[in-house]
Amino acid sequence: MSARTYTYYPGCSAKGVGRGFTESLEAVFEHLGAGLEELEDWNCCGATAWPSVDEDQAFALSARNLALAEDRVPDAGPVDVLASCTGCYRALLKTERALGQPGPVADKVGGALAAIGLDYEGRARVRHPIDILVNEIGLDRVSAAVVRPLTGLKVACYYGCLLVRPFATFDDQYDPTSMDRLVRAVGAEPIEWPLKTRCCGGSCYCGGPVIGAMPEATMQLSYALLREATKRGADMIATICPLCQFNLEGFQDRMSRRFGRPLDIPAVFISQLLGVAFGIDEERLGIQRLMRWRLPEPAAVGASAPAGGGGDARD
Amino acid sequence: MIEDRGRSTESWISMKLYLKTNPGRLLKNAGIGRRLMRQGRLGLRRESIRERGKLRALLKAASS
Repeated sequence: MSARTYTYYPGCSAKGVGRGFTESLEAVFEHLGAGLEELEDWNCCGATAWPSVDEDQAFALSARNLALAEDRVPDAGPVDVLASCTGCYRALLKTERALGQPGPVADKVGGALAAIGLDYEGRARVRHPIDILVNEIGLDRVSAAVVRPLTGLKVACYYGCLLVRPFATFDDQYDPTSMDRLVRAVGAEPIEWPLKTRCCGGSCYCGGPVIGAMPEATMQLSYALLREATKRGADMIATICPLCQFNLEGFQDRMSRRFGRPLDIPAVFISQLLGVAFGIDEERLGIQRLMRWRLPEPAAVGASAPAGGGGDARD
Repeated sequence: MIEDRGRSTESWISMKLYLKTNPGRLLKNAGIGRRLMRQGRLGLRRESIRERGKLRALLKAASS
């Protein structure tokens, strides 16, 4: 079993509203014999609205993180930087691509890094933890780690906009399947649905209907996802983005009132689901931070499910 | 916020945005804010990096 440790870039949201994502990823990777080491002194990736205001500064913010990751591994080999939040993943990957081509952006950002004593050599490779789980650790090892198969659990895998757009590095741009394969590997059943990469409204920003500039549009986009997943029989939605997760779980009561149809479906991080199947303590997975959490009846889900563990709706 | 501290803190961003655009919504959404705080997902402590001066110098050098 590999004891490889990966450099982990959490980003602001996966340490805040989405901290259950970071907690569960760390627990799951450790369980699978890998490690995540948080990048020291990381800064905001420069996603948000920054690229629209000053794109070079946005590149520079991400570039500092990539340069710090390279500093951490001073030999000449590649350095994998795992970014869990898909907004950060996209921003860092975009920077990796921009700086990988000679031109004015690379010159300017390279000069800005040099001004603070850093250098980006092009060794840092931005990757998503799902890519590592599926293509490096492997589905066989994931399956082998299962002690509580999630048989009977129907999961709508929601990838959001940014994991495969604009860069599809490890999955299909139109019909990604990495999460579906992970869900199958732990005994659950991914539902077929056409909205797996449709926007949740997080881009109408920031934090969904709470403070979004366009709350009505955000609500409609999130509602369409929740309604479709429910209609197709999903017991829960699994996602990989802190903003999507919050958008989808946080406002179901408000959407139910607004659209006149009841919504009550947990939205969780895929790593939390994997951790439950691995038998990891729920607190280590950040399950207590979810607003809704329940599994189908214990008889249907895993032999070792606790008695009366049908779960709770915490809304 | 990011120029000063290097990281964003969701609670502060939310409050600043509300106060600038629609203070009434700060009250409307206070409930979910409290709930997130109880769950440990939202805090008032402002996140920061160590090398704040260097980050400011980086942004200045990269400015368009």
